[in-house]
Amino acid sequence: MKHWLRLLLLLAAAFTLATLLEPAFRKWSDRRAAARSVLASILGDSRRLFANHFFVQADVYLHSGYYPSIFDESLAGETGIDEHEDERDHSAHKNPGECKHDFLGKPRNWIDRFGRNFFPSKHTHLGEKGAQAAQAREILPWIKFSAELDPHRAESFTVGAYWLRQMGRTNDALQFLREGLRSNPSHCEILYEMGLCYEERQDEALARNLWERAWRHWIDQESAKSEPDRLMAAQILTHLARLEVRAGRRDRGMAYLEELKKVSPQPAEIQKRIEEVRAGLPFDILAKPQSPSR
Amino acid sequence: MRVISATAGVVLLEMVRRKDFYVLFVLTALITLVMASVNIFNDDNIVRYLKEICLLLIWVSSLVIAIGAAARQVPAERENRTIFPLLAKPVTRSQFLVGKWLGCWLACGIALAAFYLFFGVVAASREHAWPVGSYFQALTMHWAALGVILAMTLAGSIVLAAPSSTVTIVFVVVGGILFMGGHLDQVALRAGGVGGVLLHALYYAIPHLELFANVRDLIIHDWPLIPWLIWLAALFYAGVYTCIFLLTAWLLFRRRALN
Repeated sequence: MKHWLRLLLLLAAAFTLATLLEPAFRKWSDRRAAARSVLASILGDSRRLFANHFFVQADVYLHSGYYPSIFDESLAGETGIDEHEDERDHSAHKNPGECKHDFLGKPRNWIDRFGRNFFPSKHTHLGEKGAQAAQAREILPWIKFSAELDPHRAESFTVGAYWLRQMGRTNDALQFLREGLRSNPSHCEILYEMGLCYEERQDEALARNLWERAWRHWIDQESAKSEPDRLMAAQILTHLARLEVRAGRRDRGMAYLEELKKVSPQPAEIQKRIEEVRAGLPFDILAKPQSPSR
Repeated sequence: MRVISATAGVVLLEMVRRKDFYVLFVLTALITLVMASVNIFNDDNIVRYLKEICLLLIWVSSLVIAIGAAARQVPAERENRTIFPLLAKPVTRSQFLVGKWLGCWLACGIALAAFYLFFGVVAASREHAWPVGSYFQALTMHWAALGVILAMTLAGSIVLAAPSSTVTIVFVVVGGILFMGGHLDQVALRAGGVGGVLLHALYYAIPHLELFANVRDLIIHDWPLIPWLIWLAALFYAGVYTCIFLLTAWLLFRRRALN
């Protein structure tokens, strides 16, 4: 009998304890679920630092390890390979002649000359040729880690999506961009990149919707700034104009080109395009106007 | 030579019995496999980030094993007073030091072989290739660099009072060389004056261990083999510095009171 009483007492105590602990546990587990990842919770705000490092690491991988150290950068008074190239025009990597990549210069001494045998000392790119585009997948882990650690860094999503598209993995690119959009709603760069994905999937209506949204958000977010992101605007407008001209809506296409003329550093060139469209000529994206300086 | 190999054999046995290597190997394997299990856009062929993480862990583990082992050799013999019968055998002090270094170096070589075998298996499982030549060059250069570090630590353990202080200081020095060594001349150029001259002198004096660590990048990014003559020159370079540090250790040790 005594045993039964003890058991009952224990059960009652356990039940009481459970009712006391349950709300606290629920609160804790909700908070834990809200956190994006364990790593992000552990690292706190320093995760942005790591995210930045991982993003740079992706660029290191894109150059197959050939990358300047902070010492090379400080000596050259430059801030790295990407500074010479447009950050968003990722295809710029395809023309190494356009930028300075010889950060190593001539060997400084015999140790330097000897040491160059033991690290990547030639400028190359992953996925330079079409068939080798799959090689560029090696940069994806660092992009993903960067995006995971700092989801508010939209660049991680757009660069990742760009390379996924290059590999013909448009669905993965879209999925990744949707993740980015959840953390950066109405980010015009993500919307623009999503538009490119839908265009690749031949869904021009959705692409147009996204670019129009991107353009509206660009006006809201950027136009009031002292140094607006003109390159982004130029890219959105060029694609919108081309889509409209292709769909036979030349007036709307020309309206977008007029807008493009305002943000372009070469309005005369854009005016020529407007005249071409007015004359009924097709609007060729490959001969797109030069990227304005940022 | 027989005396040296006997001393080295004892060190090797002691290293096999210690748990440092096993713990570090399991940790390296565990972290690498966890990282391998991360889903990166459903692509199972992505391998370079894994190679980078694995090689970094191998380098860190090998430094811990090498510096930890070499730092306690002489102080432990002195503390246990086993150095007296050992040197009365007769074993000369130079043989004692070379034997200790050789034992540690062989143990590090065995550990490195296990680590690199694991690395090769992990890399091959993803990229379905086995660039034996590149791995061999990386392993041998890594081993040669550890030879320099072991000799440096042995010399440090004779000067410094406790193994813990030797370990700390050697780690700081090796870390400094790995991160800054190759750029000291650039820093010297910026510094100018007496400081610049001193930094330049330091640049030419230190063993450039970063040359050996940089080989990781060639492996990670699938660069072609290092020309074999250059590889041989690197081993010779490491050999020269190993001899310099062993000689320094002997010069410090030969007249030092043992009690």
